[in-house]
Order: sequence, then structure tokens, then C-alpha cells
Amino acid sequence: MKVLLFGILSEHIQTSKVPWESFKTVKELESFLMEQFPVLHNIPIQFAVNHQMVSSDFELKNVEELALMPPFSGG
Amino acid sequence: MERYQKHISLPGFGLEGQEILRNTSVLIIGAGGLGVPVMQQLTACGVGTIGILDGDSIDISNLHRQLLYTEQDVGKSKVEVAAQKLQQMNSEVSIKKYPFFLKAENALEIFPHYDVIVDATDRFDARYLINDVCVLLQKVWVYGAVFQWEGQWAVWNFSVNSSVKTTYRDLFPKPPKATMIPDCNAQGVFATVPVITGYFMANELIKLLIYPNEISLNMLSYLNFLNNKSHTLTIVPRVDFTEAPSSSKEILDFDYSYYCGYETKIEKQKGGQEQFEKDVLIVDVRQPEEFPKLPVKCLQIPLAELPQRIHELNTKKVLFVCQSGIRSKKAYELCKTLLPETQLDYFAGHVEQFIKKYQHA
Repeated sequence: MKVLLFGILSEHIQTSKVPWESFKTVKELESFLMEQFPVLHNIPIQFAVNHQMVSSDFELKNVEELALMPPFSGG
Repeated sequence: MERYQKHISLPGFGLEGQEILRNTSVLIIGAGGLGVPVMQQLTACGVGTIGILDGDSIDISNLHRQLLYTEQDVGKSKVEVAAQKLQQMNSEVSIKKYPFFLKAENALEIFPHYDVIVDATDRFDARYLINDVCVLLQKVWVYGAVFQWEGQWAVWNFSVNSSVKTTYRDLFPKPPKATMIPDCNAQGVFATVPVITGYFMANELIKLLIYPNEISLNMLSYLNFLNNKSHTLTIVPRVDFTEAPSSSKEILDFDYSYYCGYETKIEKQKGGQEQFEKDVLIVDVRQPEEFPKLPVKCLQIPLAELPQRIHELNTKKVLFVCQSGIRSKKAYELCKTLLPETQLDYFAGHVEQFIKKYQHA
């Protein structure tokens, strides 16, 4: 599974510390990330699979590409 | 019409398209990195009415990416300077000035006069307010945001042939704690990122007027300007929708700043209680050119001069005031260590709020 981290998430999530393939659902992954990187309690993440937004009960099976999008500020 | 000839000769554009642009009104909120390219492009191609809303003044650190402003403009109101320059660019366009920050009251009053709203702000409270007011008034809004080397943009609350509409709240139903997502001032930004992202916003805006079928509906577009990789994210309407203010009254009563974590409850309770005691020295840390002036005896020391002039703060109590509450906080933090004996405070809100509170105190 290819994982893409956008915006400030690449500063907060150390990809090597996450067993990306081991979660059944987005919710499980989200809980793990929040536990591992507590700063994420204050940053909502929108998960997307193959360029489409997915909800937290989405099953992470045969996923080619998972993208994690945080809010962006402005200019 | 000669000036628009190259548009008019495009297939599907023509005189009709130019007439559509002339009859369209666009409100641009934020006259900074994203707002400047949007307003320049819309002015150049003859959008009939352009409103610019921003309470900020031009800072020297804006100049590397906000290409409408020059060194001579530093300290002046962004809206005033932008309006003057845009009018020189195209006298046929009607430019409306709103030199203040977006609040629920003025959003509800101003938005109804415009066809399209542009979110070129750098604050989440403004973004959620824009979202909720646009949903209430059924306005389409064009959005852009940046982070260091990355930019994203989208058209919200827009549909073609009754297709489903999505909004920013479908992407993020709840805001982050704003301090966790630093803006350009705190985190830095690569100069071309807001400029090009702003042009993508202008591009979407003109397309939704002339070529609405070409708009990628319900899609967030993303570009990383460091490695030139792009990405898209299809937005799906949420079923688990979080509650959001949905009437004028609810929007007026809603504290968007607190909601987005800009102000803690403690800071809120503190504000406006002890600040107007007689023995407090009020220090205005804005540039001398900035308006409105404070209707109160005060010392004027621009933030940049504060370290050299700190000896002038020879009283027991000092209150810093500025245009939006950002510089006053910086002044407070700067002096906290340098003047440990002095009782320091800062006004966390906008200068107009300060004046209102002072007059009612």
C-alpha cells in the first residue's frame, strides 16, 4: 500500500513507526495514529483511498493508495 | 471590448461570455497571498464588480509573494492600496472596499450582494463562517489554502444540473485546533505557492461562470510545488454530519474563534475586565499610518521599534493594542522577559473591538 501524507502530517507522522498494512479499518488506523502521535488529537485527518474520501468504517483491504489530508491554513 | 478580444475569440466564450463576466460580482475575502492573484486576474478580465474584504495592513514580509504591493505601501491598508491599483488596471471594473475583518454580522450583510465568494483567508474561524453563511445563502464559494510548498483549491457548494453539492464541512466537519496548523507567518511559505494557487482559484472561478460543465465537481485539487506532484480528492457528502449553525441567528450567536481554538476560555473571561484602569499605559504597537486611531491617550511604538524604546514603558501597568491582536501579543511576549516587574497585558481582539469596549467602559 502506497501511503501519502500531506501538509503538516509529514511533520507529525513517522511512517516507519506505523504498521500500515495491519489495520482492518480506517478507524483502527486512526486510533493507532492518535495514540502514537498525540498531537493528532487536535488535527482532523481526512482519509482517501484511490483519490476518494472514505469514512472511518472503510475496510482497508487491497488498497493501492491511501492518502491522509489534514486541514491547510492560508496565504 | 477590444481589451477582451482574446477571450471573446475563444470557442464557447465570445461576447456572451464577456457579458457574463461583466454582470458578475465577486467578493474576495483576504487581500494577501491568495487574494492578490485572484483579484488581479478577475480585474484584468473584466469581472464587473469586485469586493475586497480585509482589515489588515501591508507588512514588509508580505512583499515576497503579494505582488500588487510595493515598499511604499508598507503600513497602509491592504484594501485601500489594492483598490487603487486595481482601478488603475481596469477602470471599467467597480471595486468595493471593505477594510475590516470578516465577522458574522458583516458576512450576513455583505454576502447577499455578491454572486461568488472567494475564501483567500488564513484563518479557520473565517473559513467556517464563510462556509456556513454560503450554505445559508446558497452561494458558491471558491477556496484556496497553502502550507509551505503545498497548495490546494476547490469550488464548494456548486452544482450543475442539480448534481449533489458538497462543502468544506464535508471534507472537515470540525476544525483543527488552529494553533496546530500554523499559517504562512508562523510556518513560512514558498513565494510562488500562494501566487499559483491563487491563479488556480481564479481559473476555477472564471470556468464556473463560462464553462460550468468543465468544473470538477466535489473535488479538492492539490499540488506540491517542490516535486510538482499533483493529487485530487473526491469529496463525498457526509451522512454523519456534525451540527453546524444553519440560520442567521445561529451564525450570529456562534463563537467561531473559540470553536477553532484561537481563544481559550480563560483569555475570553479575562478580556475587557481590568484593562481600562486609569493607571494603565496603553501602547499602540501599530505603524503610525494605520487606522482607526485610538480615541484614548496612548503611547505609539511600532512593534519593530519596541526593543530600542522599551525604556519608555516606565509604568507599573502596560496594555498593548494593535490592529488584530497579533502584534499586541508579540509585544506582550517580548516585554514579558525584558520587564519582569511590570504588569503586562495585551488586547487580543481587533482594534475596533478595543475602541468599542473602551467607549463602553
